[in-house]
Amino acid sequence: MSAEQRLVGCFALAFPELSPDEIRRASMASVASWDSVAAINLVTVIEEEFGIELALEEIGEMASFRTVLDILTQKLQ
Amino acid sequence: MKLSDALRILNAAPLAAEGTAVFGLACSFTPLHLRTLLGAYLQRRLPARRVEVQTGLYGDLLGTLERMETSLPEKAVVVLEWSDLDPRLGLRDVGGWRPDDARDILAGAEERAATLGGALTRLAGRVPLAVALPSLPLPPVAHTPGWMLGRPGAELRRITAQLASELVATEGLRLLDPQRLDVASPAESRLDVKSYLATGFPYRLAHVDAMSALLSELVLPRAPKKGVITDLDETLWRGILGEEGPGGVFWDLEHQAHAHGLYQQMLAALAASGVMVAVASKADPQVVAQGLDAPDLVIGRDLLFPVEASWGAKSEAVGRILAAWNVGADSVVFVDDSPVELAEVKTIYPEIECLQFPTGDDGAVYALLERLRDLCGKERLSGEDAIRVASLKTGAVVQVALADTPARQDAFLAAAGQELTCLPVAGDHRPLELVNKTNQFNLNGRRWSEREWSDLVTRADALALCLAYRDKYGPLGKIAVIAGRLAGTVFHVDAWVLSCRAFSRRIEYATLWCLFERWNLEEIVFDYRATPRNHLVADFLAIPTEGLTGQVRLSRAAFMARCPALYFQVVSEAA
Repeated sequence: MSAEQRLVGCFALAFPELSPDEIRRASMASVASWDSVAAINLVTVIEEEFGIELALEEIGEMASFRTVLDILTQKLQ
Repeated sequence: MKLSDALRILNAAPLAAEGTAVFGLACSFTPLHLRTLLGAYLQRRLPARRVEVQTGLYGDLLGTLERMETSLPEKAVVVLEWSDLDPRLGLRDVGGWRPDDARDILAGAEERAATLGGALTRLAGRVPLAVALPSLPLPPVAHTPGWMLGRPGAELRRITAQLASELVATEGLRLLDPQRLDVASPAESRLDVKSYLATGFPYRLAHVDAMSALLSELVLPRAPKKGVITDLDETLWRGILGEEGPGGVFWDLEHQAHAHGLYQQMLAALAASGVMVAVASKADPQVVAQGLDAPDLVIGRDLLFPVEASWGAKSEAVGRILAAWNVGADSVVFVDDSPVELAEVKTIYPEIECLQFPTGDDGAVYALLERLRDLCGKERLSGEDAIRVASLKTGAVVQVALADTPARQDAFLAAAGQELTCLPVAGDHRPLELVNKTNQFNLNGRRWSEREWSDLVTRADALALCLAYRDKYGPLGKIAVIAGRLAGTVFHVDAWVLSCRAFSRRIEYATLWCLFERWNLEEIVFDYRATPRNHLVADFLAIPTEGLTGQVRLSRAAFMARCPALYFQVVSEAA
């Protein structure tokens, strides 16, 4: 399973109401349930799934699925 | 459980289920992952209901407790931390750690603990509570080096110990044992400083997981096992009785067999707490009798009933024990050193809890003792617990006597000196305990929460009785509960149970006779529901249709026509 697919799975846990396509287009601005609690859940789930620890600066930039995927891709490299 | 696992469980929770189970969670820090994992553990225990965990305002623990007195969740969890005694004992406040600050903290902590204790006690009177005491390490407030206990640490621990001592006796409140939490979550792995400062949530996920798992056991306690069946050789004692003789089996330090003595001690403690203890041994019965007559046996021979010593399959012995106890296999633990015997019994009785006695491994034996305590432990002991073994043996006598002609049965009961005491239900724990753990003679198998039961038995039209029984063979204690609503000369029964220890004494007839006569009833209407195990009720009420659910009506005339002769002296202490 690719990193993107695994990341979609993480988003699905934090935002169960979104479809995979909606997840790929999701951002803090477009998803009403993407509040601070959901953001923390998302970070923790991603850290569990990928076995990484995200820095506060990285967490601060995670405003959309795309930016999260970019940060993750760089980190995994 | 990881956070992702918890979210999966919560996301899969039923939408239109058997009602929503609302639990309260009160803490002064951000509840965050504690709310999620606690919710997941509770959801797993209640698969048919949707679990909702409601929290309060950040930093307002007392306010949250106060609001719960109005919102009345089904049950609530309260997680205390040191910062609840003083914000300077947390890391989100920089109020000072100077020696003067430490003195000031101590000056206010005792009063703060008393305020918290009062709030918890008040709430526990309305909502069943599970409370966790502070589990984080104290911050470096004291002026002493970290390896030296200073006055702040000693005093703060004394204050919380005092609070715990008061709360442990509070009705409706259960405390999480810090010792168990220490085992499940090492102290050095609890505090997440990064999370605490960034989000206000102070715990590492592993600690949250451990705490949530234990709190869920407090909130939704499992039914304790009713009996332990034990093997003898290399289990109750070290050695093979049949080969070595009574002088060749040991349970003492001198023979490096003390772990077996500890095991006997645990069984004796369980027996004194009302857990039935029996023996299932593949051995000659006479040899076993000699072995059990040893004067220094830690568990007295009189606490073991029955003793099944034979050369047949262990499962057959277990079957006879279950019949003598009149309980299901799911209520029993079987302990044997032989994996073969355990597997044989487990094959015949899959529901039985099988534990292997780890002969020769003293550490593992100690772990077994703790496991037995976990399986059989009870929140409180009753008078019935102290007399359970004696009443079991009495029951065996009665069963033998009653396995005879009807005329002789009547003669036996007439001479038994039967006494039935009707007691009030409100304010007594035993009736609800009986209703929720009795399976065989149970009108509908319904399980009641403490709130639901209290509402039923305290409403204006309530009629609820708890019955205690004794005869010349000894007391059985409180053995039956009947509760419902009185409407003129009609009694609607919502709950009716009779302990299996009290069968064959016509107590069920005496119960209804008392109701018809004392309350001048013309009809009793039973809210009956068939369960997999309550066919005795269907037989008694002469319900012809299997699986029938609904009201079953019994008129006074119909009851009196089929009521057998009764020989009870009835004493009424109920209003």
